[in-house]
Amino acid sequence: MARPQRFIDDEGKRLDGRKPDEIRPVKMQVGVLSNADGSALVEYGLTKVLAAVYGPKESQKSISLPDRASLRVRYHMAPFSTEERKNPAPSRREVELSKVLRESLEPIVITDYFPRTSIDIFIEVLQSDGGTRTVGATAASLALADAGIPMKALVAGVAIGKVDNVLIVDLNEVEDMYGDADMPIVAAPDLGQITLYQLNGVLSKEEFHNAIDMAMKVINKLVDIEKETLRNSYKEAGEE
Amino acid sequence: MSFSLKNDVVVPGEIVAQQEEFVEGEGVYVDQETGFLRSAFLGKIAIDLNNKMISVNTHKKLKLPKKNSIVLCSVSSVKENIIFVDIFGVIVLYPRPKWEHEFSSPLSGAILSNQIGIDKYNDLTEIVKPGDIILAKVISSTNPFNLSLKGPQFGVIYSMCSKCGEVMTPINNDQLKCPKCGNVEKRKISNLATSKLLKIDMKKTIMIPP
Repeated sequence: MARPQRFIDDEGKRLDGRKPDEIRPVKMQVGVLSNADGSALVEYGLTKVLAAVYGPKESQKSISLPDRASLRVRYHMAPFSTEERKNPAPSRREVELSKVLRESLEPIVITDYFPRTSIDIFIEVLQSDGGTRTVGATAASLALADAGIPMKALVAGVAIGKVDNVLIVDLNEVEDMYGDADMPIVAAPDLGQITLYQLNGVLSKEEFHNAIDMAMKVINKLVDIEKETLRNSYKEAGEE
Repeated sequence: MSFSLKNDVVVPGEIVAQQEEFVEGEGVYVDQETGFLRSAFLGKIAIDLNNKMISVNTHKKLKLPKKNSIVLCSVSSVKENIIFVDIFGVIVLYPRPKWEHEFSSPLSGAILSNQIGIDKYNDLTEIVKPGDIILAKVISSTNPFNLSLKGPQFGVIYSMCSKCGEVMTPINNDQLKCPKCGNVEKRKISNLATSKLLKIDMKKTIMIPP
C-alpha cells in the first residue's frame, strides 16, 4: 500500500467515501461458537474479530487471586488476517495488546463474585483493516455478556485519527499507517468511564478534546447496537 | 421517581431502578457513584413487591455450584481433619438423578471434620478414602467450596477395593465388601449407593441415568 496523495477530497470525503465523522458499517453477532460459554463476532467494515469467553473456572495457583477472579486475555491475529502471512507466534505487539485489553476489561467485569477462579477471553482477529484492538474490545464485551458473566457495563471501542489536519473516526489500515495521529479509545458510556486510551502521534489540546467528544458520541452509538444485539439474542433464546 | 423501562429485558449496565426504590437482589448491583441500581447480566427483570426486591434472571446460568446444591465429587486427599475433593458437577436428585451441569474442569472443594454428620470415628479414612466418588452438599458458594456430608443421601456412592481394585458393594449402613477378595472396608455410605437410579462410570466419571 502506497501513501495516498490526499486523505480527504474536495467534497470532504475520505478514501473510502465516508465523511470524517462517519464509522464503517458495523455488524455484531453473539453466540457464534457452541463450545465457548460466550462468543461474539464483530465487524467494523473489513475488520473482523471473533471473541470467545470461557469460565469462570478454577485457576492455576500461580495466577489465582484470593479475593477476585483473574482475567486472562489473549489477543491474537490469525496468520491469514493480513495482506502478507503473519507468523502465528505471538509477537511483542500482541502480547502488549493482550495486557492493554485485559486492563480495559477488568474495570467492567465484577470479578469479586468468583474468588480464586479465572475467566479466559480469546480475541482472534480474522481479518485486519485497522482498529483491531477497538473491535476486539467491543467483541470481548459482547462475548462476556453472552457468557452470563456479571458486568458493570458494556464497553465499546473506536479509534480517532488525524489526517490532513482533520479529525476522523474509525480509521482503516491506510489512514492508520500514514495518518498523523491514531487514538484508540475504549469506554463504558453507562458509567462514564474510559477504560482504554492510547495515542500515537501528536494532537493539540483543542483537537484532543474534540477527539474525545467524537469518540464518546460514536461509542454511545456502538453500545446501543451491542444492547440491541444482546436483546435480540435473548429473545431468540426464549423462543426456542 | 420511578423509571419506566422500555422493555423488561435488560443488558449489563442498564439502570433498573433507583436505590431508594428497591433492595438489590440477584443480578443487580449498586452503582455507588450515582445511586442507581444497575443490571449485571443480560436477562429479565423480576420484581418482588413484598420484599421490595428487584433482581435480574439470566438465561445463561453460570456453571458454578450454589449454596445447597448437590455436587458429585471425587476425593483427592484425606488429611487429619479435612477432606479435599474435586467437584465434577452439580446434579439434581429429584425426580430422578441427572446432571444440572457438568464442569469442563473440576473445581476444588473441602469437607471439614465437623461437617461429616457422624460423631464416632477414629480416623477420617473411615468416612471416605482417596478415589471415592461421593455426593455432598455445598454450604458456601465461594471458591474453595465448603461441602457437607450431613444427611443420609450424602456420602460414598462408588468405591473401589484398596486391595484388588474391584468395585465394592455395600453390605450395611457403613460397610462395603469387595466381591472379588472379600475385603470389608468402612465408609459413610450414601443411601443412594444401592439405588438403581444412579449409575456411575468411573472411567468416564459420567453418571448415566438408566
